[in-house]
Amino acid sequence: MVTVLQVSDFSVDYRTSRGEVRALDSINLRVEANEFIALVGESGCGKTTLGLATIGLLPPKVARIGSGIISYKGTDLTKLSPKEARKYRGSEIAMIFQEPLTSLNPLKRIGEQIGEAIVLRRQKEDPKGAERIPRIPGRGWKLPPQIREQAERMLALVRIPDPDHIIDRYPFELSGGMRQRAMIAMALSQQPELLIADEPTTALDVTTQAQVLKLMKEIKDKLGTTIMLVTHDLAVASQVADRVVVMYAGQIVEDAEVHAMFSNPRHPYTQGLLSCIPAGSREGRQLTPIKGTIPDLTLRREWCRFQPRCPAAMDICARREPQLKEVEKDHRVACFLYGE
Amino acid sequence: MANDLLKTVDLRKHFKSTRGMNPLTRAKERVIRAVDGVSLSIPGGKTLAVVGESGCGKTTLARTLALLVPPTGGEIYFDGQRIDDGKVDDKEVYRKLQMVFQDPDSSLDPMMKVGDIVAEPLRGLTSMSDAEVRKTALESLIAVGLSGDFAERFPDQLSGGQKQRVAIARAISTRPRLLILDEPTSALDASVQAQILNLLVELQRKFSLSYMLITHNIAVAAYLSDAMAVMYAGNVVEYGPTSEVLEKPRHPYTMALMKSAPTPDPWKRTLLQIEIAGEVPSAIDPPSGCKFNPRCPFAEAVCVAEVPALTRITEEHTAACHFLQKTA
Amino acid sequence: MTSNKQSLVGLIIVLGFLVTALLMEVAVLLNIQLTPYPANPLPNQVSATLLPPSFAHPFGTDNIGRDVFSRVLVATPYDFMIGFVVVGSAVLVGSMLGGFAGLRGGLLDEVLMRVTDVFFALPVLLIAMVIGAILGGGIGNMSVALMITWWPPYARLARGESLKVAHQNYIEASRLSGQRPRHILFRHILPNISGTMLVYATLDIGTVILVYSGLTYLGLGNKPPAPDWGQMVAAYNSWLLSDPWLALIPGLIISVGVIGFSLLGDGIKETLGIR
Repeated sequence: MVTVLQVSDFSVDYRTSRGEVRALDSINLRVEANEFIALVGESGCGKTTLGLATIGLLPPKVARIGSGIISYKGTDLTKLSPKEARKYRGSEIAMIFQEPLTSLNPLKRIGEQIGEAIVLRRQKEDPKGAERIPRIPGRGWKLPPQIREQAERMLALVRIPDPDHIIDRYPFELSGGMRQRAMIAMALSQQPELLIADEPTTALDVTTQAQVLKLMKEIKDKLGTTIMLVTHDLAVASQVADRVVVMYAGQIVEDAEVHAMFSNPRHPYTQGLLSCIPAGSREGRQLTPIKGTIPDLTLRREWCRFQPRCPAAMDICARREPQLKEVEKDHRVACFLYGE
Repeated sequence: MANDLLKTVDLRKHFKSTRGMNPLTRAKERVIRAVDGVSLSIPGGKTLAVVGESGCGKTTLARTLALLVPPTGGEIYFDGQRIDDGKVDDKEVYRKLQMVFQDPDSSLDPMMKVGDIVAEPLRGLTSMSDAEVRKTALESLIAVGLSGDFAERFPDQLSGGQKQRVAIARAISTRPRLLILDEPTSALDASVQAQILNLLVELQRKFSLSYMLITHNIAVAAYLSDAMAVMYAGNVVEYGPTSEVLEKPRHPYTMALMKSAPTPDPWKRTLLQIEIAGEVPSAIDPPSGCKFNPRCPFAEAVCVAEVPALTRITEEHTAACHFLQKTA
Repeated sequence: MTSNKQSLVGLIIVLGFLVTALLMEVAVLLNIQLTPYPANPLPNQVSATLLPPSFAHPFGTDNIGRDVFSRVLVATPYDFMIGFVVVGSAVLVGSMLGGFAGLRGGLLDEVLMRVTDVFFALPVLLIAMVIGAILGGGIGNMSVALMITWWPPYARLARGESLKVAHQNYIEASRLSGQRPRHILFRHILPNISGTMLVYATLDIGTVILVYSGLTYLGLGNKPPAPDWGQMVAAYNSWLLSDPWLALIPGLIISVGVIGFSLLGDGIKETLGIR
């Protein structure tokens, strides 16, 4: 199996008005080619930060990479100059976000934005020979027929009805689900190896969410893309992912193949999350919420971050920090319950 | 049923849309049929979940029942009385009917102390003395799991879950009989959501409350409710006891909705089996006949021609479809 | 707020003027002289004419031998406080009108806003001059002229802010608590728009001071020999080249006053913005 992404001992600090916050703390993660991996956690766990760090879009003044590397196919993304990073961003690694309205340019038609992405890809492959989208003074833009055809194909790939019609529409004329698909089409136009999706369906209706997630699974199956889905919804992860990575307060607490994770959740936080999800009527199973609240990340801890809320906390949990270890095949946990 | 706490008969709420309208000739004046003939009932002490996606009308339904907007047609009966005809004083209604809103951040006045927020219904709807108001407000705060000293705090000092608890405390301060809960946990993290759901169960038992729960989250609806009504584009398309609607949905939309609802079970990936296409229809220009027909895998000519009525499946379970035999 | 040096400077300036204005007002009421020299001296009380600024006369003396510093001080209660009076009344009228319009909406909103538009269209200086021509000048009449024309932007602002607030869930909750629009306006809407109104008002006081100085420059202020900053600038115009301090210093005082409010307003905006 080819390793697409290798995150080693990676940390990110944020400068906030309340002090420095360690948003990511010694993250170790490996993503294989054509894997559908879900980063799951509640707000503030660092999952979005990891996605942004991978594509190199951390806010420059506020975020600081503390240590570690993110290696994409052997290249350390964190050491690239902005110019070099641009070569990877979009063409090798693409990202889609939660609110397509802010990610799509409201003043440009869908076709033009997808066309730009296509042209960018061609330029990267063949800097001299690629064509540009000509601008006709006074009448906006005009897609060369070859690019238009490819844009239509991308829209059809994401199952947008009437692609030749939608290509000429503006983002505000589309519904939320369609906008999200257009964004996926744009991201795919550069034929990326890795697609990072940050809560892409959180703002969508349930049935629309199902359609978009199904589409993402198809993309993974048909195009061989590796997909990293960032979500707060463990149930969503269970429905589409091959592997689930649970994060808490900036650290990975459990990392397992999806069936292993749900048949045998090891970390108390994962177990807690699962027992929070309502399933069936209240007579059937009581919800047991995790007591306490998410810790204040401005305070550095040298011991287990989940310890104050953990029903299985032991003495050692308040003194040392557990490391992520493999407890069975393809199932890693960071917890002293499974040895030191 | 005579012992229904809340009952609606053919309730309708239409809005006029003037977009693109010529003001002189009034041509192109469109009507948005947000709620288009809804009949439901909630018995005392029970929970009815109204589920649906955006644009289905569930929030408008909630606001119409709370008399925040006047209905366009139909009847609303609450605690034996008709409340929509303007003859009953709304203060009398609000003593027994309250609402909790979706967004905890905008539910509380940022310039008011928590204690005053919880006391507002008492001050506005009852003639209690100041001391009684304070005592009752304090009891409400404790009932939702917050200590008395929260009364002196301001909303910006509270977390999302705490804010929602304050909103609930406010809603129960007059000890109402029915609470309308509009997506009470959608804005909250998973563990906080679980806490609030448990709280709602406890309060229902303690104060013999009825709930009308508006939500798009099937799992939450399944957890809290005794009966479920599924709405689509302004109509109730399926209605019955929760267990029946969940396990044996008969309307094609309900079936798609149940399949789409993500369950934490990687062995049952129903989400990937979904067959629905298209989007929720426009409220101004809905499809003719059964509004679901453009997206329905079972649709035939009659579905475009005629609106199906709610047909009885079992004693309490109904669905509005011309071809219930196809989904049996 | 005091962490920001600029707003601290603004606060000091404003407080300085405020204290001066109050002291001068007390002096008038008690009929005592707190200034180093009389502002309107009798012929036997004047000093030498056209003296440049010195320790004895910090702002120099004018063509009649009056101490300019004392004159500036005596004018302060009028020229400075008019800002508070006009803006204060504008905030009151504007907030209630606009706040109510935003809350109720519909026909009431339309009517109130059209009335606002009519007043908005009135040109400030022209109205002031007309009133000055008919009723005479002086701070009283000019205050009235300014108050008539100053409130429309506040009504607009209050309405805009009120619209933002009116859709919040806590307003609906208030309706569900049986509260009537009047209660909602005073208890919920006005407190929540007060921050924005305060920032705008603070920045605006400086403008009123400037406009009133303009009016007194045109001669519409208190009758001479009563001093007004703007009037002094006009009166000492002829000596601009020979004895520049006479016209420039009152002008500078006006500027400092305006800047003070500007800085203070920005400071308040930052404080409230963070909170």
